[in-house]
Amino acid sequence: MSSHPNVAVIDRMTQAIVENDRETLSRIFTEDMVFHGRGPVPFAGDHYGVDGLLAALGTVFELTDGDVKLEQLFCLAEDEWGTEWEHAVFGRNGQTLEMNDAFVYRFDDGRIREMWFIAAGPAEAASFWA
Amino acid sequence: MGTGIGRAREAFNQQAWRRAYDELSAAAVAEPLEVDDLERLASAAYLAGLSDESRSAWISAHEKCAHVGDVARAVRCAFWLAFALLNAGDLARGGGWVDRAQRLLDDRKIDCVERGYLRYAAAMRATFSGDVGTGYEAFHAAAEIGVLFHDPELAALARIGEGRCLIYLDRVDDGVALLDEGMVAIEANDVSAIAIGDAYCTAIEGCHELFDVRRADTWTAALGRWVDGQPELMLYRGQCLIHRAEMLYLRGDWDAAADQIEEACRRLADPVGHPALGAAAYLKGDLHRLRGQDRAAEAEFQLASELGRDPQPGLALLRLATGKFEAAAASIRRAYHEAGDPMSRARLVAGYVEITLANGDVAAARSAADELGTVAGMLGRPLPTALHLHVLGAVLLAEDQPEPALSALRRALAGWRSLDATYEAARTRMLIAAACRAVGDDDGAEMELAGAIPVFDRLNAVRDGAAARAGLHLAPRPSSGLTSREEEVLAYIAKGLTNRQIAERLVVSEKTVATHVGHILTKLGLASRAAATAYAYEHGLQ
Repeated sequence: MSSHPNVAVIDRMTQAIVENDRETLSRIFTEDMVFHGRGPVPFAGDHYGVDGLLAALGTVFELTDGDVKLEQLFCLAEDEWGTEWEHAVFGRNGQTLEMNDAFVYRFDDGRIREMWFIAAGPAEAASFWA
Repeated sequence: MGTGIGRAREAFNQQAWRRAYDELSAAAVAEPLEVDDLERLASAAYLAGLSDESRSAWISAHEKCAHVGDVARAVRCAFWLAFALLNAGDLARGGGWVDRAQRLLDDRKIDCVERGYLRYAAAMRATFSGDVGTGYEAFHAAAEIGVLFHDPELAALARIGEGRCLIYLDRVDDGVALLDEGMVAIEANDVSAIAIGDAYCTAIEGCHELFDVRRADTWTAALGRWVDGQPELMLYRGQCLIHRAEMLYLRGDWDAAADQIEEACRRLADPVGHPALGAAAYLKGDLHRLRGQDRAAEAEFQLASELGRDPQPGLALLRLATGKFEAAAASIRRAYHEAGDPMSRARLVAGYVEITLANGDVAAARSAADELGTVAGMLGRPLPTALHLHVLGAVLLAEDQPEPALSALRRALAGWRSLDATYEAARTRMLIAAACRAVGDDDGAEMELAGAIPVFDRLNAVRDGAAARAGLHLAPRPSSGLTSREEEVLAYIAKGLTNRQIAERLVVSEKTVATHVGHILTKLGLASRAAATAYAYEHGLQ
């Protein structure tokens, strides 16, 4: 079974975030996109536009000094919705945090208009980021 | 942990690469190495010049990491393996490892800094294959990933690669700024020895391509300090060590340049067929040519040619110096027209203009000088500017325009002086003397010649010295037959210093001093150091 084209859009978006490729991101997201961060994470809250998204995710790289590994476990999508489950390993001040996170995407005419991040992390997540 | 492993790690931390390799290899016989030590083994082998051993250690480390599911680390090991293969020119195998590592990351959809390292390797592959545009894009992406993941090593290496590509794409100033940014980051951060060596070589090669002597000098001096602290270090990209000799040559320290060539050849890993060997032979040949040692020059130029380095313009200038005008003109014309672009022709232009003018082809010399003027204007660096003014002055003289020639030549002289390029400055003074004579200023001409003679004498540039003396109607200089470096070594022998002590004073290897001592005894027909001491006292050389 071949995957829905929106799966490729999600993969391309992740790659563009890693490469700080704003041009690609501005094509993938709508101009009025909103990123909702939920759970015990340093960027919890709502962030607007590609700049807001990159600034929010940037705090994770700042706090971990780049010690970040993200592994996609699976990704599913149809025309209007997509979801992604991810295993993340962060290192900070000699400590390691492993957690599983969920992403939900709402598409509008092939572009992402809304994106949710939901941390399904362990109890120590809050103290790790504190 | 056994004591053997402890010693090995200590040697590694002390940057004693060969010793670290030997100790780690010995420890591996007793029990399999941990991944950390396998990585140390691979790095130490690479830095000690043991390429096959290094590659097999990277493969072992890669397989061990992959086996336990540490994909990111397995990819990092595959990157260093690909890095070594690509730098050695093995694009097929290097590229194969990049693809294999990329598939590992893609299959598991892992986002980590290693993605950036693979972009870097892909950039190397594209650039080495001649696709500089793609190389630039990939270096840029790698640098961004390095910044995001706070990896100073990747960010700095990628910035340097990006800068080098921009220079190839004719965005010279932007490229140079990125080279500087990358090099400063390399020096300021805790990065691996492999990365440091590669960064220096890339930056220095880039500066030389631009004739940017000052910048090359800064990084060459820093490379020298770094290399000198690691006697067991061997380099795969030894061209930058030859550039160190070229800098000494330009600064008029020809003896030190000759010593440096020997040191560079000693430090080249896998020396058979190493492209830097051709460059070394060429430089040796040119030094012999300038010192009137024609047979030795011819032999080195021949060797350079066999090693894949075109021996021009040195060989054609040797032919000119020995009166073979037509052979000189044919060779230099062939090389000049074969050079595909203005930057490549700029390296030949001084010899080309000298020979074409000697053959009376003023129009060809003028056209070459004008093209060099365009290149110098684009580069905006002092060396090509001084070279252009010198060549232009020679052409204007041949066109019977001594006043504008004088103006160009005086600006050339100021340029050479700002670069401490003593030999080139003296050569320009010879042309200024000719221009002074052409306008009837004999006093001015004689002052210029009298200023040039001591420089030529100090360098043992016998032909130039003879020409300057002929201009002043002076008798030829008497000679002991020793080079000034050999005279220096003889003076130390006379003071009773051992080879090791002399090596320390001259900052060269003991082997180089032994070579000098051998030449001194042979040239003077002496049997011992005692006889050399007596000779020094008798001839006032102590």
